[in-house]
Amino acid sequence: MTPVAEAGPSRPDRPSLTLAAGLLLVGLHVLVALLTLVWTPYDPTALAGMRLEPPSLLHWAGTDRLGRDFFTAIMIGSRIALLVGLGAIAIGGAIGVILGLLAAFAQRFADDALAAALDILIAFPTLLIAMLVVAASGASLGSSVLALGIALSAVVARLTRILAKRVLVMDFITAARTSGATWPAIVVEHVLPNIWPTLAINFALQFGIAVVAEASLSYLGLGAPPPNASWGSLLQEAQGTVYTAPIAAIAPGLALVSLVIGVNLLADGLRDVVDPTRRAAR
Amino acid sequence: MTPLLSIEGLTIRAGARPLISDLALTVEPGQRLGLIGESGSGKSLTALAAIGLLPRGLAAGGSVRLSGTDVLPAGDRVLSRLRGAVAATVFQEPLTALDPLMRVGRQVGEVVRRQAGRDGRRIEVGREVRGLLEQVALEEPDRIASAFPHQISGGQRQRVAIAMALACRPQLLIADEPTTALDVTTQAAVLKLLDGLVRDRGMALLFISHDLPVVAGVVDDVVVMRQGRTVESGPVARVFGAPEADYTRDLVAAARAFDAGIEAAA
Repeated sequence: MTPVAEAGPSRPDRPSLTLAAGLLLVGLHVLVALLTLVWTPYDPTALAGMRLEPPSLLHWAGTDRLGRDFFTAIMIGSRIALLVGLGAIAIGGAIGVILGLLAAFAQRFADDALAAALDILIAFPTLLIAMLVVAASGASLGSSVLALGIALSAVVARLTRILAKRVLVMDFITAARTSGATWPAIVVEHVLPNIWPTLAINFALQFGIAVVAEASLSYLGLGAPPPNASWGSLLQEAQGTVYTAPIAAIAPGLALVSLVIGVNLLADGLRDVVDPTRRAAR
Repeated sequence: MTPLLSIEGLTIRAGARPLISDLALTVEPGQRLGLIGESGSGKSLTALAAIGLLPRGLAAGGSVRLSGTDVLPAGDRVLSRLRGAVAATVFQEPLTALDPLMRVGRQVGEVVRRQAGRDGRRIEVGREVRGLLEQVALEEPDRIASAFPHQISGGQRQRVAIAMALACRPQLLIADEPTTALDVTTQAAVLKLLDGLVRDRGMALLFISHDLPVVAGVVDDVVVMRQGRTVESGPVARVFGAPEADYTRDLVAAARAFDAGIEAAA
């Protein structure tokens, strides 16, 4: 047993503050995102007031330069951000885990070639790969999710490869082999459950990265067009009026930060929950 | 009768370096053979070769027949049918031999289910698992079954590993230093258990150890290995009573000196 595991067996006994804070922040965004499906304070496309109104009781985050309610746009931004994060993780996770497992089983030349290919992919910044994909397929929410998923898959694949390789040399894998288990059965019964805790935490972290990357894409004008504007597009629009209406820059920024921090806290808290060896011994 | 395990002229190399040279041994049904030698003498590698699980990058020559099938050129499809049914293995380190993230009952259950599927038997997995845990003399089998491996003791883990090997209903049990990682009193209990199980089920046993008294207690015949070569082989009483090779003589003398030391201290 590792010294780390011995040092902290009592920690997960009480409910983790990190996990609670993460759940609260993420849960808030999920609730808001669900709410926008049925109700928003104003019609997101309608002119609801004067142009660039400051925050008031009627418009909590003021209005944009066309007079649309800005708080409504922020709320819809939650939905966009969650969709982007989940979509990117689903695509990146599926491609990454499959590639990573293949690489873990590959031998000699194929192993070296796959490892080198993954390292090269990872050396490219996520944003650069995503920009390439978006440039090739046109700016839309779907293409940015696809782009981010592909960009993230390299990171997931490399992690999966290393984790799976470490599990594959363990005695219990040999033991399963000696009792006649086939490789597919071993992957499902032993490899995936053993790498899952680490992968899940990585997925949560990648979720945050995907949300930030999508905001950057949108900020560069490569994201989803309005009215499904993401926080990144809102930030870009706010750029011109940042001195006259600072709220338009601050509000989407706060929304983005709160979601990403929430997801990271959740990832941290999840680690203690998903790994049974970190639970207290009986 | 076809021997369960027949190794002839086995040579294993890592690059140009020979790890095992021209090894020969045979295990007949019901026979108990000990494989003894110092660390690095190729004992464990022999065990892996016997079930066609040589690590990648090693080149093997000669022949290893498991119940008549040559395992060295055989593919996974053939081997996964032989493994378990013909031979099952218990390893040295009971902590790493169990999946740390799977409850004990489920781990044993997976093997039970796999073997039942292979034999086309219909069974109640839970009851079978409980029965196996009882057979390896685990008290409180229900508590053990619902525990994770890190929540039970080393001796209990090794008993679980033995239960998993038994679940395969093998004709040959390969035990690779099964007691080395355990403390002395637990060692004795696990040895007694293995001895009884092998006798009751009429299994053959390939017992691998560096510990001469341990080997002498459980097997009929013994092969002494050193640096990948067979030094001497024959019935236990003859090999240890009147050793012919210098190396065996040294081993026996060392074991005697150790015993004498203990008696003098007592």
